[in-house]
Amino acid sequence: MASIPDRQPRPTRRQLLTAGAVAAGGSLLGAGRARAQSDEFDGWFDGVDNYDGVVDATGQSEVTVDVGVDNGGDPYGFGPAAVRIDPGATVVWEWTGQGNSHNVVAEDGSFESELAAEAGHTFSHTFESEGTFRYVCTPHQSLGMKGAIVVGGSGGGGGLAEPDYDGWFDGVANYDGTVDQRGSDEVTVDVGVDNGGDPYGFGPAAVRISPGSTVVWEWTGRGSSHNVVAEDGSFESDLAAEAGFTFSHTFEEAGVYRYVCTPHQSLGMKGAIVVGDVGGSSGGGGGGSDGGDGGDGDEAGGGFSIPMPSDFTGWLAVVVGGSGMLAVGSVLAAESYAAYREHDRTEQSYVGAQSTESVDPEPEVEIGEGFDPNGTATLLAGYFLLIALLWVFMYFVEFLGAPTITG
Amino acid sequence: MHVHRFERLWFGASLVLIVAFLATIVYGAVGPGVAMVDDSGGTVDPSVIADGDYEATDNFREPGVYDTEAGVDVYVVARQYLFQPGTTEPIRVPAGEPVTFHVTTPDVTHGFNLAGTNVNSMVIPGQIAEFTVTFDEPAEYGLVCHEYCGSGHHTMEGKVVVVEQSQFEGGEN
Repeated sequence: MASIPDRQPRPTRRQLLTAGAVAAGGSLLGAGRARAQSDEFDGWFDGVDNYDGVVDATGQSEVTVDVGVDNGGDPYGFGPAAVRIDPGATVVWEWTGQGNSHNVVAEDGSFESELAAEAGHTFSHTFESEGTFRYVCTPHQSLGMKGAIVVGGSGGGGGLAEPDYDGWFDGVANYDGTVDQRGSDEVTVDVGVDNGGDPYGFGPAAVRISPGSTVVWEWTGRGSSHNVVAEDGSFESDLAAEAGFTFSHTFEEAGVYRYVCTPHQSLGMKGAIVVGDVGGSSGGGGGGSDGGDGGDGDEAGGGFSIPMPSDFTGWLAVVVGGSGMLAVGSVLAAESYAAYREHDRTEQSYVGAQSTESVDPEPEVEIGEGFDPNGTATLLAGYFLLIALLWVFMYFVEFLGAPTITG
Repeated sequence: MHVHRFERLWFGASLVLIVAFLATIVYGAVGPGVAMVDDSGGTVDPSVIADGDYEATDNFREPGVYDTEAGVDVYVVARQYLFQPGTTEPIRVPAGEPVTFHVTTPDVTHGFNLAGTNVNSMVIPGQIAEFTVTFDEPAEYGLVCHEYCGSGHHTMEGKVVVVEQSQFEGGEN
């Protein structure tokens, strides 16, 4: 069940980041250019055949995008796939009626249309704030029915957009944007600040510093023991509890460094240090965040352990399975031992026959003589019991134990 | 003919076992009331569903969750490649109350399976699959299409969230 992919909309940071990438790439775009770098969208349009650069529709107050245009032979495309508009402009999506039902759903949830199939259906949304808004048609997303609206052009400048934390701060209540501390040689981050009511937070959670700056983590003494461990292993503090304990690290290379407090990671005690003017993972500093991606599943590591059942069903499975294996194993072992003995005896009598002529060639044991009705009955009773137990387990636990159709 | 008394015992035990197997099945049908999905849901013109013209049919309603006196009715349209509702927003149903699903499709054959349970039906254009399930406890179930329905089949999934009765918002009606 856990394998079901998460369909949650990406956090807003994502689009802001792309906006940053747009702003950063502004010099590349030049004035009046209609095309943009495709990696401006961070791979969004990979495999989208009908994406052919960003169509410049700035200067228009209303822009129409067709829903259900040809996309590599199938009517699962937005036409045009990417449009640049001015802030305040309205985009009207107009259904062509081709390719069954479509909808228009923003990746960050900022707009969402009904699912409709009929030609002429329209949906409109007015974009007030600058940024890149990526959207999909939910049913045909996997077929490359994706689009993007770029609001605002190369202007802006100003502040840097949020880097791509890639969901790092999902559920981290005290994360409230990246605090810009560029220019300071030394930046202090408190360890053990309030995070949604519990003292399991870094304050501030995300800080932007200049390359070469030092970050000093200072323990507040609240929330028991904490540590500071980089996701990519580039820095790691001791586990400490006392107030006033400090740990510092100097960041030389630009990038996004994500870190956690190992004991309280699951409670949302996460932070990030952004070094330099990194705007997103497509920027120069992707190394920091990329390096850490593999670390997620590793924390459970540390040697191997025998899995133990945790509930009645588990124990029942162990008992039934174990006794079954024991029964089959003991029968096999007894059989093989008997066969070995038999073989041994035959060989001996053969050797005996070779050496001395007078040995009686008659077999010593007659087949069928050793039949023991009580032993066989016990074995069969065991089999019956096993079958009955397996049946009970399958029917009453596996089948009736889960929700089932009753009418 | 001489039959050893142990052999008679084994014959007897196997017969008892067969009777016991049958008895458990009878118990499942009579006790918990395990049932098969049948044609009681009736039929519907697929084009009615395709056009979203739910007023034109008696036995299907606009997709959603409806709270009725007898329990909860959930109307789901499976289409290439989503469940409506289910994919964009989860189907929220209460625990401890019979929930009747009515599932149909306007395009091709789909499947409707709550992963890890016996709630499992084929969804055929023109047919309404109707089946009742009572969820004992709050839980989250993955909803998957398990009948190949086209190139986006592997992405066709949704979610059913079973909530406490007190948290159930009563659906759309």
